[in-house]
Amino acid sequence: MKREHTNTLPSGLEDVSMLRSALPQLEVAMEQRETYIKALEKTIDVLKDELPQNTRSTFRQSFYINDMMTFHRRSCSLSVSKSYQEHFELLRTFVSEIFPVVDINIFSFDGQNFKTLLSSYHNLTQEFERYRESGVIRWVVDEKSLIVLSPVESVAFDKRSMVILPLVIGHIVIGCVILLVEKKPEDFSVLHRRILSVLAYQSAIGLFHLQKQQEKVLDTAELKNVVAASLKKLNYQEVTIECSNEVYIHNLKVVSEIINALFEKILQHQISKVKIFQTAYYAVVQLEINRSFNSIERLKVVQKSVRSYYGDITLGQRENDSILTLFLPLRSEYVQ
Amino acid sequence: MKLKQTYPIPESVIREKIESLSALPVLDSFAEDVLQLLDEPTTTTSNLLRVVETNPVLSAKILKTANSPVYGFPQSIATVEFAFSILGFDIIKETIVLSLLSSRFEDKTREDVRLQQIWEHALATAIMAKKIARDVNYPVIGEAFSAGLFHDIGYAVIFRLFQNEFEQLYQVSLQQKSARDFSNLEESFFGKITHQIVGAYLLEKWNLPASVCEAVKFHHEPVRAERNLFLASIVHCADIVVRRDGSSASPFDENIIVVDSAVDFLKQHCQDFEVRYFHQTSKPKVIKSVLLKKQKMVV
Repeated sequence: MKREHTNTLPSGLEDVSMLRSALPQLEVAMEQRETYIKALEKTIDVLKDELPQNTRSTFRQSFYINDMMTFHRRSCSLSVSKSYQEHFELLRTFVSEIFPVVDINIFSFDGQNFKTLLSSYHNLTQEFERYRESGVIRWVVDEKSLIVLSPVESVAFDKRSMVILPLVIGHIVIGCVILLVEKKPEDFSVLHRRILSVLAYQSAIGLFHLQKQQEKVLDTAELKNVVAASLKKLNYQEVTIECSNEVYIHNLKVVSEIINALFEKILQHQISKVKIFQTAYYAVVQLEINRSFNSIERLKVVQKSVRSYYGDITLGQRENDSILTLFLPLRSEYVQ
Repeated sequence: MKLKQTYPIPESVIREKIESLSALPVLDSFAEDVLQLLDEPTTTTSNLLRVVETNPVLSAKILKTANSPVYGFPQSIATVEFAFSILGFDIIKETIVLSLLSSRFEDKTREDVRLQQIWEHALATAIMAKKIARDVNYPVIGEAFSAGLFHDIGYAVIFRLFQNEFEQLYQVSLQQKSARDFSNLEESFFGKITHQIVGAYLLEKWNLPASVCEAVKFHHEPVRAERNLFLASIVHCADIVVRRDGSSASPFDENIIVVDSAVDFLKQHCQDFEVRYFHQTSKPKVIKSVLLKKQKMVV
């Protein structure tokens, strides 16, 4: 008996046929699943890759912050440097830690003019003057911002740069630093600029303190000079007073002796003789009295000028005596 | 010869044309010298600077590039040296080559003679402005040089944009024997838009510093300068002095009058300014020798 081939499957095999018909769909589903799994795996891989990167980046950031803080802390030593030379060496050291420095010059600014404050190997005054004439320095002063330039004498493929940093205290520019460095201008990153700004800020404070210190030293020296000059003047005046006193005393003595002589003549009733010499004596006495008054006036002037510096100065006993010697006889009714 | 009825040209047309102007032509002889200099491997920025700053067109082009916002210094750079420092050797070289090459493709046979005269006068004025600036203690001497160099750049713009019309008017004025009174000629052609305003407008469009634009705009009447009277007075006096002493010959503006208040202003900064620049006769030789040196440098 020939087995009749029918499309219908025997019972039990229907499920298999169903499975066969579903096979393509299953395959698609599996493929999709595999794709999905692969996608997931890839995602996991990517995430795995990214995770350390993020960690690294966080680490880098923290490193950056720590580094900046450390640098900032260290650069504080610039603001408390004790001398210009120390300040200059510190600045050069710090900048050299960032990139190779060829030269550093520091210029001070008084609001109108710049002048060289400190320079190292080469004097960059000529370059500075060129930058001033071309308006670069004005830009730096106006903007209070650093500028990175190609050197004036550069050639093709030159790797050097000229950096000009303003030294700012508050809103006032007190000078600027010129750096000649072995780095192309386009290679300066934001970080480089920030670090240089920090250095410039600390340097400005340091230089400001040093300038103030120098001014104080100069003021003190000036004050010392003034005091020394005053003391010298005082000594001179003392000597002058002493000399004057001697002269006055001499004058007064002469006058008093003449007057005494006149009185003696009167007391001895030698009127006739007095009469003979009266006119001559009188002229002499008049002259001497005038001279004495002049001396006293001058003495008063000297006293006044001395008093303005050193307070009251009393005349010596001898001067008082001499004056009394002069005035007592004059008060007498014999001499009019 | 009669003028067309469209004169004076409307201001809007002039401004529109200036806005479309990207470069001015460079004289062929100068271009060859500069290209030769660029070919030499030993050429430094400084050598190049000394040559470029003798040419107003190249100087303006370099300043235009340096003052573009791309470099972060818009309207701040007034001197070619500052621009050189910002741009660096390679960019300067590219700018110069591009500028010279684009200029080569233009027909400028008629412009050459007059431009030559104008540029010679511009250079003489620039040198004189620098000298005056030094004497009166102007803070940025290079700025005075630039303003002097660009003070007549308006003429180059006029030649470039309205060459035929201008030539026609120039011939008319020659026939009327009034060529020397060039301000009348300008007025009949441009109305109120004189070469000063055209030059200043171009420099403003090219982002040059406001003080330089103002000095160019008011170099005939410096008292109108509000931003920087100092610079405008320097350029005005330099322009007058080089005309009077014969150190440069410009076919235009022969009758320009000295503004006394500008001289007085400069006298405040240099007491014997008038004696030095308006009463001495030895100055032309100085300027002429400097001009010769500059020309030799290019050669």
